[in-house]
Amino acid sequence: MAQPNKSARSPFYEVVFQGKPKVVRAFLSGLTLGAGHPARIFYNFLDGVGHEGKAEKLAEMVGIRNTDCHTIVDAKTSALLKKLAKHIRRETGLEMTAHRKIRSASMAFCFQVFASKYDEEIMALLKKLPKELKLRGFKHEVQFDPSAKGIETYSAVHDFEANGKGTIMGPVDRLIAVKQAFAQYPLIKADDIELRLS
Amino acid sequence: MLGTLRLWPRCPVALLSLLIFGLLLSSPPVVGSALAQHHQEAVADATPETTGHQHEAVHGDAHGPSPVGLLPLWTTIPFLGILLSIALGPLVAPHFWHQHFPKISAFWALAFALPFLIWNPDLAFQEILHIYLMDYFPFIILLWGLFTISGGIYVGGSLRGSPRVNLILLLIGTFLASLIGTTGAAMVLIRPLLRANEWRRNKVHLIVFFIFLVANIGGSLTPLGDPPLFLGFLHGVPFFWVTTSLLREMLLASGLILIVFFIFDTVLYRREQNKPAAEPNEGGIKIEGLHNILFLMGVMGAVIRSGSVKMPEVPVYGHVAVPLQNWVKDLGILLMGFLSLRTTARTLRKKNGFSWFPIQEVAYLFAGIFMTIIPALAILKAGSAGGLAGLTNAVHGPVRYFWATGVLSSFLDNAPTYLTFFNAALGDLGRTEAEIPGMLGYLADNLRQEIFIQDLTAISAGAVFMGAMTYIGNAPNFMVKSIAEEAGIPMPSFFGFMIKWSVPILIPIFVIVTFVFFV
Repeated sequence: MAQPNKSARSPFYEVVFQGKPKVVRAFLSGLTLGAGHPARIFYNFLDGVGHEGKAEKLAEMVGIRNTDCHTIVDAKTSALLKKLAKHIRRETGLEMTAHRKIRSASMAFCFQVFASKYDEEIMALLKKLPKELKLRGFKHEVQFDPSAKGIETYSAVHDFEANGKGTIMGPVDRLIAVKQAFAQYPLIKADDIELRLS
Repeated sequence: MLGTLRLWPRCPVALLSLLIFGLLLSSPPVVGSALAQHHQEAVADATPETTGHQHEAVHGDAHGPSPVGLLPLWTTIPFLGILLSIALGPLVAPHFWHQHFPKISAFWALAFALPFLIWNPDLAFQEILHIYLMDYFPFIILLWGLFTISGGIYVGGSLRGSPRVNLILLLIGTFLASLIGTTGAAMVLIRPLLRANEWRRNKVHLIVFFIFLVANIGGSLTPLGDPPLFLGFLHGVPFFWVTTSLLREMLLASGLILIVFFIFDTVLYRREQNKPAAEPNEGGIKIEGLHNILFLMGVMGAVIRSGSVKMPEVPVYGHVAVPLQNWVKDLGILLMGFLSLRTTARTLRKKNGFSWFPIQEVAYLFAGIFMTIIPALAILKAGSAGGLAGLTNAVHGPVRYFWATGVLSSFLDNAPTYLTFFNAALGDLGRTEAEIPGMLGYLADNLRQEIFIQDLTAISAGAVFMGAMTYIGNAPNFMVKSIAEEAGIPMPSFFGFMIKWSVPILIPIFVIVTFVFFV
């Protein structure tokens, strides 16, 4: 996993647009390209970042509230969007419905594997987490049952079984990188990243 | 594609097996004439002079319902108990079940056997002896033979798991299942499929479709393919009847499933990153232990021949008359199995992950199933006179037989389920097992009974096809799941398998099969 750089330590902001995610993405790409600075933007629909709250999610599901596009942007892009908010609304019709600083982020995960090889791989991955991230409440259980070695048909159990679960907390951009790394391991089930907003 | 073919590892033994195989097949399978003779003797001349007919009389086939058929319905509780234990044990308490299933099987078996032996020792003894000699031992011997021989065939090398290669592997497995049994085909082909797709991220669908086709539906073309069909064979269904009768149903179901699979696999394959180069492995597939095919043919020859000749019957304790051809068949299968063990390098079995545990499981559990099924079968055979008259009256016609057998086979083991509805169909028509060849059209045209043919086709298809609906529907399903999980594939849970895969894919296909063939 990549080591943190200077931009990773600067704050990130959640900016919510009312509009179609693809339109928002195209707009932000154009805006940041035009502005000429290397922006760091994440999208909830692409990067597995959860909504701000369950009530909002429910409201969107039942159609009370329009589907919004939740984005996470770096401080520079955030400042640019704040500055241009009125122009954006007038020129594009896109409305920013929320613009808040992200205090912290977390992601719960769990895994169940039936071969020591995969357990070792996942444990190695967890050991290599970036320093800014903290692993909280991690539980790891390994069970051996030598009598279950080999193939079975009516009583299929495994001679090795490892279960693990925990929560990773820290800067949202680092967490997104971890989530992307976890995605390469189908045995790890990672929840959406939860944001704590100012 | 074929690489190393170790066809003749130990020539003298292999030649001996070939000789035996030739002898087994030396008499042409005069199915029609032999069955006609058997039928005429059994039906038209059901005299008690011959031991076989004494046996028929005892079991109520020729002289009305057996006294066992008049037992109260609660005597089937141990049968339901063992089926539910097999269904729920691995899900609710897998490690406890793994360690104690022989005791649980023995408990249910004794729960029926002890009161039965106390109530009527003579009748109980002959009924138990009958089912073990006529059903249980032949059943276990066949499964042992197929498992032993197929465990000696190792498909090595590696392929690139593209949609086309996966489709071909599934196609081969589907047809192989009818020759070496679903468990054997699954054991032989699951690892090559896993190796070919090791590089892929999305693999769950491969295992699911493998369970659908190789571990279940593919086994529908011969009695060797799936245990229910072999039980049918033991009870008078001619060997090739399922081949001709289930071919269209099997082709439609597996064809539709393969189309769905190919679309699925193509979409997921396109999403894969880091695809390996077109020819990553120079060796392709290497099949070792291929001489075991000879032994498989020997098993098939022994089974076919036992159904096509009429030899004298050997009375056992003067109660049960076992036809000599059954002994010859079982000895032939045992010999083929031992020859396979003797001539196949142990390393091949090791590479297949071979162990005797699956056969031990079947032996322990089916010892209990066959003991406890005695009252259920007799009651069903009694038809409207038995305690299950409600069931035999409610389930009529191929549509209901297909779905009733299928739904129960999804959750209970499909072999006893098949036997239950097989007997229900016979009881429904008031017919006996001796009349089956005639009813299936293997004798005179005037004996042919279309209703029974349709019912038995539906029962056979339901039992074999719908074993794919859940992990507990057929024995290899759990084995495949377990091997896949140990290979790092996140297999769905019991209900996840049903909700995400079997119900949305298989149920519409089975509805199509119903409308095309059974309505």
